[in-house]
Amino acid sequence: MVRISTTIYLIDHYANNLNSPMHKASTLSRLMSAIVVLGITIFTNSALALVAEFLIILTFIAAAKLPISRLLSWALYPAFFASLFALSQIPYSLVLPIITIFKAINAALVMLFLISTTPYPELFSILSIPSKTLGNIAFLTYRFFFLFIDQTGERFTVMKARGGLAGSWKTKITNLAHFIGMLFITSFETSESMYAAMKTRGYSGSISHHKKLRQKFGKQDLMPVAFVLCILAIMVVSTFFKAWRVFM
Amino acid sequence: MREIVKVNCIKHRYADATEVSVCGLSFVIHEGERVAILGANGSGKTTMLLHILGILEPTEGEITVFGEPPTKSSLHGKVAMVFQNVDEQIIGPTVWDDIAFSPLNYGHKPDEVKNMVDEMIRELEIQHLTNRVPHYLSGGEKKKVAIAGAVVTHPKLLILDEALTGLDTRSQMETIELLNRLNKKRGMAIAITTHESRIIPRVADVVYVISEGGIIFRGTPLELFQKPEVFRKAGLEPSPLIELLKTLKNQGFEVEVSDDLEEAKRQILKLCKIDSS
Repeated sequence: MVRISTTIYLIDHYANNLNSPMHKASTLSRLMSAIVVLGITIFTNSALALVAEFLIILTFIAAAKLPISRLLSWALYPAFFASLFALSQIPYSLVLPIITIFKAINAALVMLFLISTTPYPELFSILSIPSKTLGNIAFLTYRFFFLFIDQTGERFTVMKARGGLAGSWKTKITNLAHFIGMLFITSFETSESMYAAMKTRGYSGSISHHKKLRQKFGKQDLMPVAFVLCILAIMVVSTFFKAWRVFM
Repeated sequence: MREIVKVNCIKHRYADATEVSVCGLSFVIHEGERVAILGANGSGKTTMLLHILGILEPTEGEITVFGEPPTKSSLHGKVAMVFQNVDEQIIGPTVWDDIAFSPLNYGHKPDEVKNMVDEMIRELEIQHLTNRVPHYLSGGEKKKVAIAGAVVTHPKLLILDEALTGLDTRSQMETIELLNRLNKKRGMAIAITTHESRIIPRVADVVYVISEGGIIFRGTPLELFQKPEVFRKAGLEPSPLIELLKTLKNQGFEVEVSDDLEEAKRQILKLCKIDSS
């Protein structure tokens, strides 16, 4: 639980506090570049192209001043499950498992690259375009979510410090059930306090504020554009040079 | 001075059947006044504040804010509050967004909101926090952001619930200085609840002491500190400085009881015949 909150905090920290050309790009260009690269990853069936794409993604992650090893370690979670599936493909082909694993890693890396360079409220402010309510939900959940993981972390530490995880499995499960119950009550109280605070600040059911999405495209968007162009170049090369296919 | 808040013996019954009452002396806040509400934990300070804000409605008693019941929408923007746990008050994903929250909800136009927020940020000297994410701020910084978010709409009354509790001495002093500056510059009345008597002289012109469901004292900080029995009754600790000067006076020394540290120092040095200059 503590590990999950640390990961979330780290991603939030990278998105908010790092300063790279990718972080400076407009929300829309980052989001669109990620969608395009994700689409290419899904539809590519060339192992070499996927390996090359993987290397390019890593290059751009480094250029965005993000820690490659950490992002790679997070991307390995889906890769692990993909490898289980890949194992079943080995009797039929040696290339297919490579494609399966790299598709999983690349897709995970692209998404991690996006969320590590784009703060959550900016990313989800796009929801305010189709529905203002969805945008408001995203706006409000951000702070509440971090309050929640803080409370969860604090209570979990207290429970551990008081020996809550030291007894038999039966005791541990009972303590965890109490922990979840207390967490529910605390979260409910927090939401009530937050609502009272919002009421005193004029909240009456709707918020109109998602300024960061409305950035215009410009020079700052060179990096996301370069990212997409590099990936597209690989796909073009892999499609047109039949010689590559000989190896696959 | 015009009365902006008047509370007459209110009682409130919570959903869990707990009954909190604030009776005794009437509670009044005048325009531009700095009021401290002193009381032990659970004495009813926060309950009274929530009534003033219109969040709670009294089961008995009368309360008026700017001459109206506090639940009236005409009071929106006139009264602002900084809660004890500012984490639950800061809603925006960035400091700028959070300060803009109230003006946007009160229907100001985007250009107006931008001007109001930028002005507030300049006034509170928190330009370096503008684009920061609230959960990475220190306690003192969060407090400043919460105050900025509360006073951005230029309220006539700012209510602070235990706003100085949990801050280190430096952050406490900075917050007090900020509040006093806002009070002087804008003529904004301030009501602050606390159980720390030592900060009273710095933040209040008038003090109310709440104990056992009633207001047992109303007066200036100096008048309060000359009555240690009030502190005892309220379960609070009197100011050590005043206690010292009173003891000296009772023992026949020529001193004037004062809550001012510099004045006390001067008097004690004079007694010891040491030239303070």
